[in-house]
Amino acid sequence: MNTRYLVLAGLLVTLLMGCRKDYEAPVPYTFSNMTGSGKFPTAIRQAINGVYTVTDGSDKFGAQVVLRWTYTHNGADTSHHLSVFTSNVGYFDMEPQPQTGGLAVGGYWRRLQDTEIGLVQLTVNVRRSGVVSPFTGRLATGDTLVVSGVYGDGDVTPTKRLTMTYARPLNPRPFSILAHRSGGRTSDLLPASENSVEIIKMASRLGATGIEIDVRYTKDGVPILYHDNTLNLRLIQKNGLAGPIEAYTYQQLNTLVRLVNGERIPTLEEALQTVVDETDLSFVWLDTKYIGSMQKVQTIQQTYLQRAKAAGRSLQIVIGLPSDDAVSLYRALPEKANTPVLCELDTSITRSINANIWAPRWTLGDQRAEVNAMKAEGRTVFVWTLDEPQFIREFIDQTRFDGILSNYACVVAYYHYSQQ
Amino acid sequence: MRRPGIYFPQAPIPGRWRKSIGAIFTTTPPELTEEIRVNVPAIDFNLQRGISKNWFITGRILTQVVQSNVGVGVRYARPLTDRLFISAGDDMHVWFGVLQIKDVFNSQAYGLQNFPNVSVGYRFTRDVQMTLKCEAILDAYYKSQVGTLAIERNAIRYNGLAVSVVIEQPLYGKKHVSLGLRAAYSNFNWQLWSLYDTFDRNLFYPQLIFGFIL
Amino acid sequence: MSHSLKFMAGVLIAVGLTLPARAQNRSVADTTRKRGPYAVVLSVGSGLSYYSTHLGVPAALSNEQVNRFGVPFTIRALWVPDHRLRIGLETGWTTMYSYRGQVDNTNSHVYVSAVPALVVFSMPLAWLSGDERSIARRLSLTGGSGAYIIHSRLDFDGTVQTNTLSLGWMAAASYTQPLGPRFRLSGELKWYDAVASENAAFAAQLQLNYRLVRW
Repeated sequence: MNTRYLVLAGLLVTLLMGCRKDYEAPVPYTFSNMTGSGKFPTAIRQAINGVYTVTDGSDKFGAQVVLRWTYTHNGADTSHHLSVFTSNVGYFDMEPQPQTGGLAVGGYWRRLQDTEIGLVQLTVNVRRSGVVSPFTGRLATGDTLVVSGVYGDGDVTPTKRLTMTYARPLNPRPFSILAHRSGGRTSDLLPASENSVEIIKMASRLGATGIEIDVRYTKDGVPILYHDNTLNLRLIQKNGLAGPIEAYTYQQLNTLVRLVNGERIPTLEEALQTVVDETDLSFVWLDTKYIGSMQKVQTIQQTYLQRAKAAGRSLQIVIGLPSDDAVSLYRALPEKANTPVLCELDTSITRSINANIWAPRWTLGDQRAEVNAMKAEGRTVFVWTLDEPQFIREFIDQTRFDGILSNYACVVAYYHYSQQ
Repeated sequence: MRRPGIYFPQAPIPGRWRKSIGAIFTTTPPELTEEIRVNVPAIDFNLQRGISKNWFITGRILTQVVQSNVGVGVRYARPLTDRLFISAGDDMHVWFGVLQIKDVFNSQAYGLQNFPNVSVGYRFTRDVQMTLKCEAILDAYYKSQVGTLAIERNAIRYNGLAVSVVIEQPLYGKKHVSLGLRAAYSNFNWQLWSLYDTFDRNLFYPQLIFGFIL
Repeated sequence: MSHSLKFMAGVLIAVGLTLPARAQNRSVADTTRKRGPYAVVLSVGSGLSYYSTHLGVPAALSNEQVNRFGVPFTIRALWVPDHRLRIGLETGWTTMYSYRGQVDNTNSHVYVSAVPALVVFSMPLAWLSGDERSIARRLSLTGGSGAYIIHSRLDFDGTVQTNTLSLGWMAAASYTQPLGPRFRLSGELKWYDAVASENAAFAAQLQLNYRLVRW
């Protein structure tokens, strides 16, 4: 009888111990990061951008997808990537593959809600009078682009067919697709950690036209990107350090702390330099997670607005005010010129500080009256942080918000660009 | 012979009620609550009534003020030996939550879940009985509304499963308690409806069960 | 997180307070035993602990030295009613680990310890009344849940000391040897697991149990 007790107790303990499953989604493709557009000059890339109907592969990716080219710079070099956005929270990240004949791209696909990932290889063809042939760059009337190829699961060589036929151009309505935490959450198992320089470079491939980043100060006043209040295992590799990040100096963090995927915690300046120099992003939202003076962030905001202008970049950088404390910090600024702000609180506070952007929570619903009032006053309205795909569709179809902040920029991109 | 119990797979005397009141503490998964790891308590009330020698109906109310869960079910239980008992049953639950917080929430949601379950109970001594219960969690319906926008999911979906180990014995005097652990692996947990979990993964929800059998 | 602990305690106390009223109600068939003796037992113990999960030493450090051993200290107060199950509270202090290393000739040292604040449930494997000569009767199992206050100290480019709360659990098995009418000595093997911060230690302790009061 005693052994039964022990066995059952042991069952209890083992039940509790190694119980949490560790999910992973390792990327099976290594990018060559070839520079230059190769066989995909601007005109061809613009011709490929559009909404496509899926025939083969619709059981995996849905009946309709969005294709869109984005780029990143590295010094004087430019890398172009083709993304596909699906309605079931999926994205493809592909680069030109010059070694394959014709107009070929290859890379990986990923479904963000779980860990499904795989390789994909596609070629761009044109269908003319029922005949499909490789696309050479010229589109005559009656031609339809067909992007097709194979995809697979995990690191298995792709063999399943995928066929996407051009249906119509991308919805041209201006709309901000903002990626949360510089691109997405660490828990969504993206190739890079949230609030890192690495994910900023990826953000547009995930569907974003802009990003939201979380700003905090270290103990010695260096503005850095970090979301949580404390150093914890959600965000950093285990090293024994804990407690509020504001208790640590920049030197301590830079030497001893690494984000989950191995990156360093970036400074605000490093992040904005990356946005200006290396990406095609047009919007940065600096979320005020710090206490203490806002002046340092304001100075950096203005510096980088000027650098963007000098570089010919169309870039908006706004300071986000999520709380009454943040609004007080803003009010305490001696000089408020050239300091665009975004207010998350109610409309009256937004008016009292004359914020450029109003951004309420999505859990309040469509708020039609307030949104119309704010827009009539010349303000932009965003909503955050909306991830539920069915609600994203509702918000894009039924409301008048100018942009959505989401962890799943690919879904927002899908519903926005495919809207008719 | 019957001893006070709620989880132990043995029907109450036909026509008799048995009830318990206690709390169930659920540890939130880091994927959803991130930095904030808490043990959320819910008041847990169980009510059962014997129908015949082997059949009984079960009722349960769980509440956390802003959200609640009410379930009814039926169970068939029989002894295999004088110490080993088994039961099988099915419970239907409806959960609902409303959050109205100025400038934060104007949201509500409700849903239906079904729990087919089997239990194995072992009576160690006259006073100590242990139950192992396995449940499958099926989502039957989900509706969520923010402001005037609403979405619904109207399909039966396998959500996850849960395993509970519960000991029922006297604590002091004539008061019997249920003390146990429930390990649930599920895609969706009704208590965290307002976090709008979008992960299509089974997350681990460990729960501590404690109740006084009345 | 202390809110949830208080809530937990509050619920338990609230439920407990309604019991005298319910005791008057007709209850299902119960033991014929009269209300037996209740006691409160205080235990203090110490021993050796070993940090049992993976450690993360930053890659930037060279010449790393890791120490996983520590001396734990435990205080436990158990309410012993007239049946098997005992409920109590446990606290104490346990070193988790420390490591040191060098970055560019600068020394770095990290030390992590934990203070548990747990509600524990304990059960002897056999009823301890009457003849206590059987060894099996002196074995008991304990399990608990609650929070750990994790203390972390960094010495590198200055000193940083922080305390954070981490939810966790513990499990233990012990053997108790009676020493006298009020004293017992027990040897305990215990597993402390602060889940949220992924800190877990295995400890072997000797405890002195003192029966504070009996009524």
